[in-house]
Amino acid sequence: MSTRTIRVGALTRVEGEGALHVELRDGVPERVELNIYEPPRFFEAFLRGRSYTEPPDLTARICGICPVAYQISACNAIEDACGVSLDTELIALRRALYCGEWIHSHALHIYMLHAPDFLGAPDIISVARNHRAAVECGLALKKAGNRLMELIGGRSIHPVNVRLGGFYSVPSRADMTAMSEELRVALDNALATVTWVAGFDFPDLEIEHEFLALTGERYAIEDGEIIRSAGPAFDIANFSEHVCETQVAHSTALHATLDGRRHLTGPLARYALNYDTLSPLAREVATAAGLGRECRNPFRSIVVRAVEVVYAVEEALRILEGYQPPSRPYVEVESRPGVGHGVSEAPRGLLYHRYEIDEAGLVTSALIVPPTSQNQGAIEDDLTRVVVADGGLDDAALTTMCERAIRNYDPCISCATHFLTLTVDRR
Amino acid sequence: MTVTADVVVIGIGNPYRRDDGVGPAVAAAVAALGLRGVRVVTSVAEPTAILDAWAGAALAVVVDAAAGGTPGRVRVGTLEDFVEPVLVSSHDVNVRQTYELAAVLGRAPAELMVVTVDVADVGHGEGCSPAVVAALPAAVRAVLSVIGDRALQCAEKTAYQQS
Repeated sequence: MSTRTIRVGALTRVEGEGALHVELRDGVPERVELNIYEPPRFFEAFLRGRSYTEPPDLTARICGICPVAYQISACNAIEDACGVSLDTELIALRRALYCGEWIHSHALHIYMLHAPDFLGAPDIISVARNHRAAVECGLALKKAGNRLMELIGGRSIHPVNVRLGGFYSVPSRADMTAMSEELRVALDNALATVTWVAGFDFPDLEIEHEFLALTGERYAIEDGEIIRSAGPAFDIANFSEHVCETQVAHSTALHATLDGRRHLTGPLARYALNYDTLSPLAREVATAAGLGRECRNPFRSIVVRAVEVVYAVEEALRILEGYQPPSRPYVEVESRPGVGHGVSEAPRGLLYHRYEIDEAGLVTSALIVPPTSQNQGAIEDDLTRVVVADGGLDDAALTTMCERAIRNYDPCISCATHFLTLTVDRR
Repeated sequence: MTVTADVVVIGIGNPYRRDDGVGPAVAAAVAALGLRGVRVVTSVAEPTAILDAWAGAALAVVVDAAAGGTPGRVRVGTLEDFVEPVLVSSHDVNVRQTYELAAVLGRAPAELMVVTVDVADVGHGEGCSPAVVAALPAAVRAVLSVIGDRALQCAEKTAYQQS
């Protein structure tokens, strides 16, 4: 009987703090755990007793990379509770702001966190030495996303201009026209990004996780209806009946399952379940990059993200070019007792919020289910497959493959705890 | 004081994390002096924003909070004088990596100096601790001294070339 142990102190190029423990006996994985040790942040607990107007700004603080996702899911949930619908122009403005977050977050992951894995480089500095033009392209792309967030959201990190019912103020047409010029350059950079990442070598891995995403008339971003790849769709109000969180001993983040089984949310799920609503250009570049209507190789998620950036830039351009300042910056949202459910597609996947509001307009209960919590089961399953398939590798190479398997999902540990030390134990 | 070379002062830190806000506070105090030829940047939200802030500058002075020493201690040096993780930030702004990336991309300042103030409290909330507040004048003088030295060197070089 042989055992083997591999340990890594801390995973890099992920957002937050966590560890990985893998135990192998005779080459068979006995224990594969993603150990998230970042302390729990108790957002749901301290939201209780706060005014119904506060969750969008408070929950935005859960993440510095995807604050808009938290703001919009929170707004959607509370507006649902209060029976308010937004004007079409305000929904479009929210979507444009969210596009800025997708562009910035995806560009960050593609260039600074994920690309080094495919180029044998430890970090973006090493990548820049051999791929300077590409890195400049990525930085410019990220900057365009940040600029769009600043314009509509007031600032790029933790935007301050979002409120229930819309925005505190809306941008002028002149400002949006100037931003459109920046986005036209960004579209060229986004197209170049797809070409660049499509040329990487991708390890073979096919995943069988059920996909869960939102869908709508347009590619799902700021809202939508639940869709899944295997089981029947369900109403957002029934989300908690299907997506259940449980506590596990090896992680400070809750693990979520879909009807008791592992599932996957995020770019692969979104792309597969919404392919037909991509723009013609996004579909064209996806095909040119070797993607079909569905991609089940998580290592190719970098290509899917790049296609989504093309779409997000195009979509922002569409909205900005047709922009007229809304007749009012926000719709008044009066408090009323009840329960509201809100969803949106964060860059890493479906983000669900639920709030219960009392007669005094105070939050009496809150539930937030972020994408990384939902994806932990899928990540651990991928790790098991990688360890089985690549068990012949030496410890260093196997460790690298495990880290890559995790980074495929751009996990956000801060979100999941409201993630990495790596340990592989071969016996 | 008028500075002929392009100088940028960059205050790094989060004013809502107590002493972590000392960098922006020092930079704001320098900005209030209205020195011609000196650009001041205080709202650095993430590392890549620094690339734009110091690209093309003859001198960049980065002001940041530091941990591990006597609260209020002001230090001046080059990047090599500081061994990470001395520089602290609630948003993990890693000045060394950003400088290395800038150098590879040809966007690094000609010279980079670092001014740090040792902190006592980086908890949640506004306002620095008494020891750090008391150190602000010394930190501003340190920044001005660095800028002044370079301005003097520049003036001497110009005078030498003209003679």
